[in-house]
Amino acid sequence: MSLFVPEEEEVLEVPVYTQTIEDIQVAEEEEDPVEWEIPVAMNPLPASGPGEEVTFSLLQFPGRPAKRPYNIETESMPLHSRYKEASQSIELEIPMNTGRFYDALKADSWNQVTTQTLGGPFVETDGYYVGVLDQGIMKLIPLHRSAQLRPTFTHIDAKKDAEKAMLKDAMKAENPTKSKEILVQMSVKSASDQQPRLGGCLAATKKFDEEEWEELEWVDESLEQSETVRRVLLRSNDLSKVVESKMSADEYSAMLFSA
Amino acid sequence: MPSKRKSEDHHHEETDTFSEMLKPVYKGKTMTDQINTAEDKWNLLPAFLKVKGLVKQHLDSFNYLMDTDLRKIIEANETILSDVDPEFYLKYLDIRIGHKSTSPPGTREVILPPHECRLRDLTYSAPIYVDVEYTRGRKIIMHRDLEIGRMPIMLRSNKCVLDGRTEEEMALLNECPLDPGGYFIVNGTEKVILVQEQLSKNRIIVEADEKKNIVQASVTSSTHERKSKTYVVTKNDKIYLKHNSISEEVPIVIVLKAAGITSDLEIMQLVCGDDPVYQDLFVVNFEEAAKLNVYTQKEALEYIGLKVKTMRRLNAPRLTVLQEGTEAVATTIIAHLTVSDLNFREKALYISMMTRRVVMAMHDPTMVDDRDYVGNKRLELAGQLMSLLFEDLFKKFNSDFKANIDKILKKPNRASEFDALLSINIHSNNITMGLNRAISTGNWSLKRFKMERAGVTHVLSRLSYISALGMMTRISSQFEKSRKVSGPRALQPSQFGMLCTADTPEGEACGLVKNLALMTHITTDDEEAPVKKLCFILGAEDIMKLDSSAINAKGTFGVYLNGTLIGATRFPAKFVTSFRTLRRTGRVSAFISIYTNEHQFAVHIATDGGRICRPLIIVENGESRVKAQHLADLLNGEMNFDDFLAAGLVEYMDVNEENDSFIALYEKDISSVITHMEIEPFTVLGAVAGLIPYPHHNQSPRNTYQCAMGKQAIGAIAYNQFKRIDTLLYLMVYPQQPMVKTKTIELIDYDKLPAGQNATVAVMSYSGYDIEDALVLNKASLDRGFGRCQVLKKNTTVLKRYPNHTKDIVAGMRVDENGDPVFQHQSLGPDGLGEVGMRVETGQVYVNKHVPTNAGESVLGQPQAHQPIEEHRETPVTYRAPEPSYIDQVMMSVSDNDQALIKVLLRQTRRPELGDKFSSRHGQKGVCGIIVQQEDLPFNDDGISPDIIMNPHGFPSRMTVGKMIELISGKAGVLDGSLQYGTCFGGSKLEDMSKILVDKGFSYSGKDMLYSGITGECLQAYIFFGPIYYQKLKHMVMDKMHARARGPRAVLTRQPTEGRSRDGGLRLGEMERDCVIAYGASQLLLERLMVSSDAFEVDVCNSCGLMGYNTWCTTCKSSEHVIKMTIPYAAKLLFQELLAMNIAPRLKLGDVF
Repeated sequence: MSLFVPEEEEVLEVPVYTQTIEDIQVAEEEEDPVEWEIPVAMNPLPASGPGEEVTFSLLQFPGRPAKRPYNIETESMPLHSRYKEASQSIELEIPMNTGRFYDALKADSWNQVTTQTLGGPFVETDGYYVGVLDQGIMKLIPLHRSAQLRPTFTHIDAKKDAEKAMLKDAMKAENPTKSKEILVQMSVKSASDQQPRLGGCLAATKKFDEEEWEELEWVDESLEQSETVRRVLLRSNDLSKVVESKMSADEYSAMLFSA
Repeated sequence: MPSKRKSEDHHHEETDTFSEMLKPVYKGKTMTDQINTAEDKWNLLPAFLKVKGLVKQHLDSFNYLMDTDLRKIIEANETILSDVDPEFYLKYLDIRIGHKSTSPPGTREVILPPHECRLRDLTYSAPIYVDVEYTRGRKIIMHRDLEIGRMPIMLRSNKCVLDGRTEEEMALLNECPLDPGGYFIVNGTEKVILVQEQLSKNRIIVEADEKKNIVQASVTSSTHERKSKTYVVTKNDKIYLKHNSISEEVPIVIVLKAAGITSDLEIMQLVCGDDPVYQDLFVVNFEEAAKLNVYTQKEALEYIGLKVKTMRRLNAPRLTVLQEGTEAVATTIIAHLTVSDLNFREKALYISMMTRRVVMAMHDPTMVDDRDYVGNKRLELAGQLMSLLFEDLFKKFNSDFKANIDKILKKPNRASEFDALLSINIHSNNITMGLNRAISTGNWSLKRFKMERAGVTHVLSRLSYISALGMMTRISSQFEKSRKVSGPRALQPSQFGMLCTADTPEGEACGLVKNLALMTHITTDDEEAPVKKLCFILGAEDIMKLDSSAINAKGTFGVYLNGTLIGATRFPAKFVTSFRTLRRTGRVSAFISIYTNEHQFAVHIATDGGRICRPLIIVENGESRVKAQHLADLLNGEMNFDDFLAAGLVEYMDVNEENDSFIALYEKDISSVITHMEIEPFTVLGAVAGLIPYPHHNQSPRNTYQCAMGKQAIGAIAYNQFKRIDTLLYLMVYPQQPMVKTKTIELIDYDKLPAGQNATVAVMSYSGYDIEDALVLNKASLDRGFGRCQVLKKNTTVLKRYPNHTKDIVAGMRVDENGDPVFQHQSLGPDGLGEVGMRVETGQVYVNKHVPTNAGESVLGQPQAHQPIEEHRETPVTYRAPEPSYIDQVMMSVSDNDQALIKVLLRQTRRPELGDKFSSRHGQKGVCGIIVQQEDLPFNDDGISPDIIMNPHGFPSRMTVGKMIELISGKAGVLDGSLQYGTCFGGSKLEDMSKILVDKGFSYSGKDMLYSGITGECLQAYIFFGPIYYQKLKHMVMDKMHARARGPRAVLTRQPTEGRSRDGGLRLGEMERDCVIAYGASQLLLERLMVSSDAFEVDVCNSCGLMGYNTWCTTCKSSEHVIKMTIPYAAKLLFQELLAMNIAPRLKLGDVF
């Protein structure tokens, strides 16, 4: 029994590696004839303003079946979406269904949680496109970045932090007089012993913590606004944008393995 | 000469030794002869060796260091900043070895030729130039060709003056064209950096201990900065992560949560996929995390942060617990994947894959890896070791430089504008000295890894050409010799064709020291980035975009680049095929390997250096891609090996990829499933084992014995052997090439520098002096020069200079009243040095050196004008040996520190004598038992008498059938006037040989009718009689013979000295002592152990029991009870040492009778 219910689209009958060398040869020569050639059109994103470029991002939700997107229809359209430009991070707040499988008691201890927070960093993508087959033309829109959003459980951390703070306060309250005398020594920090900076991941984390969230507006796919954007994206129908390869197969294969 | 030198052209046809084999007529075959692909494909082998040479692995790795790696090191340590002046910087732009920026790349600065370095005890090195950019005040200055030290140069590398020289040019440089190179010359000695075998880095190895019920996956991460090992282990069926800098094991779920996989579902997907068995095995780990109340990433990071062993460096900022945890997960654990932003996915996947492998091995114990599998090994070569060392020294150089400039910049008001370069030159000797010292001592100490490794380099053995060659192909293992495990020592099936199956030493290093096979190539690092890009183009899906549940879905194969998961594909077969196609067409580097592992559902791509690989012929659709036409093109020089590679006819396969293919041994074995074919089966053997004729007919250990003995055989060493002055050199006077050769012998030029002679052997019993493998030698053969050899010994004298301006001198000879030189000075010339060709006997002087008597006195405090007259004392270099020598060469030169260096080479010519050791090429050694007059030896119908008589008892138990076939082939060759082949898995057929024998009127079996030399009667049996190639081994009686009656004693114990070199006594050891005790010969015991050793008369005081002297007890202040007695001096010494430790041993004496 599988723990995970496979999604309908994903139920592909892929044989476990049983191909022999012969199979490959046969497949290469016979079973793979060209049946249909589709012209490909590159549709770069329209600029939102002068000098500004629109970035096209893909949000992925591992742990959420593709059949149930976060939208109005499933009553889980994100309430808030926040973004940190410098850290390239995004966070969504999704409303929870408080009607089903909702433990109100537990929620009480977590400060009345009614939303779930998903977050994750963006990763640059190269060579990924969103493709739409429209009027016999494959229209490709380059994807700039993608992010996998996972639950951050901020409510648990918040509760723990609160408990810690309470504990600290309590400790202070218990022995309030225990403030030690501290000998203050003045020392002039010379310019030479500069503090080495934090490196790598720690620097990134610090930057992330210091940066303020910037609220973004979430537009559901069912809204008119989304439809307009979709139309703009797929706007061109002219065949001038159809891409034609100027390379020979040999040139292409030579290009494959280079910097 | 530089004008004559050709540019970077590897195809010198005129004199190249291999090209001879590729000429239209070679070995009786012409171009018009029909080409048989099955037989003639071996021609690819000389073609391979022509391109690659015999020690290509060393040269390749050194060239990679020179051309690529040094630049990478410079880039990694590019800038030097000052703590004081934020404006200051120095940046390295480029690095070059041996040529300036003004000369075009590829040109070499003229450096001292290698042979001169050998003779003058110098280091063969080239300057290291860097280009720097730095600030001086407000200006930015660019400085080119700054010399920061000298780099020892590997001989025959692309920075060596010998690279691309013709044979004539080599001769002018006093260099042997057959010398393989691949070693360094440091302070005049030739040093080899042995190939080191290691477990591969940055790869997961899963092991199981079934007794302890433990499964562990470990990975050794190695980066430029650090080396660390991470484990994922089971403990009570739960899985934990273990790392040296984390104080206790961390539950794996917590680690995964810390790495950003917050949901249990996703952890389950990554570790177990949808396999319910794995899920059941793993689920307990979630409880572990829940019990510890760890749910979120922050909690997990804090949990790990608490366990981290903090090692704060100076000045480093204090970190919070959360930061400690983050740092640990981001950089410490699995250090070769460093997270530098917020994206932990790559690392999370790596840890979860390790966990997955552990879970798989828990379920099925056969899913563990084999440590001894050659595919899991990497070979570290001279280039990599030098690169580690250089980077360490370069970092030291930079930090010294930084400290220096900080010191100067700190000064508040400097008079002149600060020029950083002025302080860079001060310590420029560090790099040179560091490199030299490491190579000459073999101690590799790397500060940044806190690593000390001793015995990395060895002196190149010049005993014979083969011993030098054998050393270049040797691989030493990192395993301790004392460990009692058989696994690492055993022959591995995967070493077929990669490592020689016969060549390994006997005894403690057996199986740990290995040798490369003839056609192996060791890879150097290739760039990862383009391969990664290519994988995505070929349809692998990036893990960054991949859903965790899809990675382990059925039918999905992970794509691993150098052990790291980079993507996944649903069509592994197609992916691998198209990747291979690109490689075969030369689009991807030929040394990148790709293979599918069906057990792990993975496609592994390897680009890292140190993998062992070898070329194989590609077979497609049941047909070899190499066709007769290709071989014809090869023979007439239109194609070379690289063309074969580029045309996709042959390809390099590493051990892992070999495992993924079907390789036919011969063309007749090809069927539709076959993917590759061997170029030549005899390449499973290495260079040394390749000397053995018919090894496939021998019992396997015999071949191993021969591999050890072949290196001790005396022969020709190099074409420049008479120009060399080595500490000890053995040369054979009349070496011959063997009658029965092998293909390998021709390929490695053993026929040009042979070590042995073809002896006519009669296999029979004679005289009784032939028991225990002893040989009977023919005296007339010895008179004719059989087994004659020369021994050359070097003696170095340095004429020192002393601080008070006095110096050693060489003075002329002393003469007697007739004006003739005194006996001691008879071999000297007027200059006080021995004359070349003179005989020196024991007690005679060959360097009449004098040292000043006042060398220790200081010149200081003396008036300048008053120079003391130099007075000298004789300190001659005297010859001491039982046999006289002849002065072969005298060389005088000036060493590095301006002191005169005198080398005298002394020569002895030795003919074989009783007890000298000989051996055939089949691991059958024997000493000379008797030397017989030729008249007394048996002879055959033609009047031929044997050079050697060998006892037939040597055969039955040794089963060296190869030796018998060698005799028959050799005999056929002699009668036929041809050289026969005994190549492994081939060679001249016994049937053909017998036919030749019969045609020439001999018995097909090789047996002859012999007549006794003593009685003249016909011998009762037919005797197996014919030529066998015999080697004279370096063990000679003259160097070992030793006896003494009375002689020197050790100072401390007054016992006789030990060892031949100190004219020592022969020890009656404890076992012999036991015998004498058991026999009851007490007086003999007393005589052997005391009287003849260290008897000493002591005065013992019978009242206090202590020892006094002169009949006086110092303790009792009386002589009343003092008794004289004899005890061993060692016993007296012990008593005194005990007294010194405040223990009083008191002797109580009583009357015996």
